Amino acid sequence: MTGVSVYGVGTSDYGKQPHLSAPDLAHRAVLEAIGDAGTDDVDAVFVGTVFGASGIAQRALETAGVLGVPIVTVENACASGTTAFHEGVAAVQAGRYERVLALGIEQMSTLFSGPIVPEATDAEGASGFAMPAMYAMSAARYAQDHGLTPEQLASVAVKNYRNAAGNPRAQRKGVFTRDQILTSRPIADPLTVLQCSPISDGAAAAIIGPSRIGDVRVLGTSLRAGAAWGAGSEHVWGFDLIRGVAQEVYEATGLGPQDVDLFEVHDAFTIGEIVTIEALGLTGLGRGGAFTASGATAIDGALPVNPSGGLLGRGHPLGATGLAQIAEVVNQLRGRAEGRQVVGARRGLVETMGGGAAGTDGNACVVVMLAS
Amino acid sequence: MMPDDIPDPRPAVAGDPPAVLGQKCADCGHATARRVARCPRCASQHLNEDSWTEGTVWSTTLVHIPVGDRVPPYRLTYVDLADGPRVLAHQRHSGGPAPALGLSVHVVGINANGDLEVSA
Repeated sequence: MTGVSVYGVGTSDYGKQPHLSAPDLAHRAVLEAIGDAGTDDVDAVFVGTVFGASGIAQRALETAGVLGVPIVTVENACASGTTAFHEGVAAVQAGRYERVLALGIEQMSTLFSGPIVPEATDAEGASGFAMPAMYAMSAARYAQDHGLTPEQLASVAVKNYRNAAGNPRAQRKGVFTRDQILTSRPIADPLTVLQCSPISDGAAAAIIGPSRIGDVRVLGTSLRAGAAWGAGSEHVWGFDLIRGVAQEVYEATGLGPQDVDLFEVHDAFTIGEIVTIEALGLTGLGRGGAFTASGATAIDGALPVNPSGGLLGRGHPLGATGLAQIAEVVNQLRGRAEGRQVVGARRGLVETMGGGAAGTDGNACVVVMLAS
Repeated sequence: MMPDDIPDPRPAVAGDPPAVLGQKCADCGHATARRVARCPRCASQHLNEDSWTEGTVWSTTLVHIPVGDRVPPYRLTYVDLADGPRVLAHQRHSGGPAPALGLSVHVVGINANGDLEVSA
């Protein structure tokens, strides 16, 4: 199989930008990626979006001057952007295309004034269920099984908002105390609003092709949907899926979490980061809260997690998030993440989790390992 | 509330005492309160009709924001039905203290919003 490199990345700003359409957001990311790659010669485009209207990819790409090639739109909930990247990598590896543009787009602020409206055809979505409640119940169960203090939960948000302060494109950033996190507006106990990623608009893109010396390389990528989840499942929602997908990447690359210099993971809610770093093997089961509170996952810690600010700080435009994570890791590995650079970073890992279908351990999880 | 023109995907309840209706796999024992063509866990087509009246609280949360047309605060609970599936339910008398995880609950029925409701 052909090795794959990332030739260039680009993003929009992240945040509530109701004055910008999805095409407006997308062409900012695409033109930056083209400039970064030094070429606009792509053979195909894979686009990830969750709430985008029919034809959104073609409308967006028309404004960026990228037409007349195969355009494939994919939806995998919050993992839609990384799914587009994963499929693009697979297509280049197989020799199907020479160069691929992977693009994630989401314009949410014009659709939602509050929480995301649940999917009415889903048994749980139709029951007044939204993702904050899912993660809140994970937090409550996790606390019962392993012990978890509110302060440990809040330490995830404190770290990620501090990291976001070094990211000029991040949405929510600054210095927050754990007390401010915990006393912010309640959403679903024990989660408060500052423990929930914000409604966000944004786009992110990457141009990939056969490996070239000097470019960031894709060492491994894996994608799958969760198995059946429910009574009898040993762990909280998503844990088994993330662990299984990460294991596939570790086995394929011969590398483990201790070989990775930084992680961009799916912290849509504070408990999500704690569960994810355990599933990825950064620390043991039940130790994620104490591990985070110790500073081990800070930018200058032993295993930096979400130096971009993560979904909490950078923002979470659903379909764009995965490629925003890819762009961050690529810039980190090039030494271009000024203000939040992980010193000496040579390998980085992206993990994105998409959820929402009742009875499953997740709609999709994608894990990608990159190296300079 | 559900739109009138699509099938309601939420658990169905019938009987006295009220029971959640569903299917159970004869091969692996996996249970579901949704209609499935094959077992989601093992793909078997040997599915038997089943029903469940009680269970235990797997986890719970008090929701403070409006979601759809539900008026906050309201309590959502994942219930592991005895020898059955895990189902999402609304807790009757949701203004009270949070139920302990592991607490026994029973199926009450379907509330005014059409949601499955349980009580201790």
